[in-house]
Amino acid sequence: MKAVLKELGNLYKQDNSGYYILVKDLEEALSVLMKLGIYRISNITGCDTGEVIEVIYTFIWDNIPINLKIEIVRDNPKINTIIGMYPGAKLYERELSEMLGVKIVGNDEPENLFLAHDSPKTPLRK
Amino acid sequence: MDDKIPKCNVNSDISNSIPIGPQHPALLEPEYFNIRLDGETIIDADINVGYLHRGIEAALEKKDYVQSVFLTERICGICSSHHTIAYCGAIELLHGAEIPMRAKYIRTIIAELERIHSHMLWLGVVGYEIGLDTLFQLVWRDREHVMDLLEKISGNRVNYAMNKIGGVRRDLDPKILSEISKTMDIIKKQVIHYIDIVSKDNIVILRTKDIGILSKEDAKKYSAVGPVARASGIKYDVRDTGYEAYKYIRFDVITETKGDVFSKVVVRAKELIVSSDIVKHCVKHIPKGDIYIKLPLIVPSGEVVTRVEAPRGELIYYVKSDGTNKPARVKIRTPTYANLLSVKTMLIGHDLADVPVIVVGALDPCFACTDRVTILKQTGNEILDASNLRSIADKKYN
Repeated sequence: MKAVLKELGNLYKQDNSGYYILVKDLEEALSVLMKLGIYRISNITGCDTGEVIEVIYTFIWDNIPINLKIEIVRDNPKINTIIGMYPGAKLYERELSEMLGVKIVGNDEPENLFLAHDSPKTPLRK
Repeated sequence: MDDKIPKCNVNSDISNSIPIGPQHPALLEPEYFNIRLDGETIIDADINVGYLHRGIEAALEKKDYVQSVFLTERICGICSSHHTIAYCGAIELLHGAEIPMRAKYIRTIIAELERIHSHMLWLGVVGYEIGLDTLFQLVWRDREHVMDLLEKISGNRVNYAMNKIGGVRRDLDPKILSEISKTMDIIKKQVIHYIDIVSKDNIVILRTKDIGILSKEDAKKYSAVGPVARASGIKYDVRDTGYEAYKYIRFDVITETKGDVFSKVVVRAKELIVSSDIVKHCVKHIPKGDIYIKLPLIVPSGEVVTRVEAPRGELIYYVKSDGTNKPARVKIRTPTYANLLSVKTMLIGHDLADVPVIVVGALDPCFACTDRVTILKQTGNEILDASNLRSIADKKYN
């Protein structure tokens, strides 16, 4: 298992709470996960570090979390949607887009999910 | 006679749209469903959340670790201790610390008591929604045993404030432990009686069997969690990973195959028995020793994902620390949020009258959890804080 995960990218942390991998090409990594039969996406976390925006995708394999992290630029951040492979990611992607202003190509909905229309935009940006 | 009754022209091509919510007698929390109907049959459903959005994730970044435990506890009124178990667990992992065994057992006891009162609350509400008020009254009467117990242990019925970083705040003395054990016997006896009722009663069967079916494929596709997934045949329970004291306890993960509301009723009802057994096991085997260890206020930098099995399913916390006394980022993924996508699949093809049964009966929703996050209203450049809002309210109503 560890060997497969190492191929996905830089496995920078592994403990009781799961595997943490920094990946360069997310789509390639996801196709590997699909081949392994991992169907469960549990979370998408966006984190503005001040330099980059980190997006962490949490998948569950055999009750162990596999966290794939990608780093994207802060100015006009843009990523492709993964709902083609993982339909369960739909709302998580919308939340990421709403809270951090990351444009999700292929999962654009004009309406807000959580925020009111007159709320401050992208409240979780640093 | 029949000729005198005016006939209504029904054109099946025309579909109606019925808004349910944000405020509606059938819904216990504010959420909005836009249901499209062809006659009585639901053909499409649109769900809108966000009416309870309180900006908790943003607020957590401005509180130190000790304060933020109290804030996470207030995300949800029902599964409050599960939020603190996950959050404190994340911080303990960042410290690389292991909490005392007695604390682990106490956390497990409180978590399972919480699951029991949550499932009983839900079973009562299901009874109420399907028109079986007797079940509602009986179950809620017995739920009080657990609520009284939690009040005796912690002084509170809702936010117990039992967990703190490094362990638990209060010890359980032998007297209360024996009381817990006795109460679990009562609960188990009563739950067996209720399972007997719900599996034979015609009202329950007619209103829940073959209603709101979520197939195993759809449950997998939308990554459903908790009893919703388990009723569709997916054996997915985070307690299996052995966090806190679950490592030392053997218990069954209840699953059903059909995925309808009835299966979900059966899964949750049987889980009540499993939970009461877990509590009894913990009470019997609770080790002696300290109940907490002291950890520094500064948390080493790093990131961690923790998961617990809340009453409604998998609850995930992502905590990132930058080596200060405040978290850099906390992301919370609550169980109802994960199950929202499945609701549409469950609703389509059923009658309008089934909406409350499916929404409450199948999902057991907790929208306070789902929305979490106080963005205060911004007018121009001014952000209104609590004192401003208070003075506006005073002016308006005095």
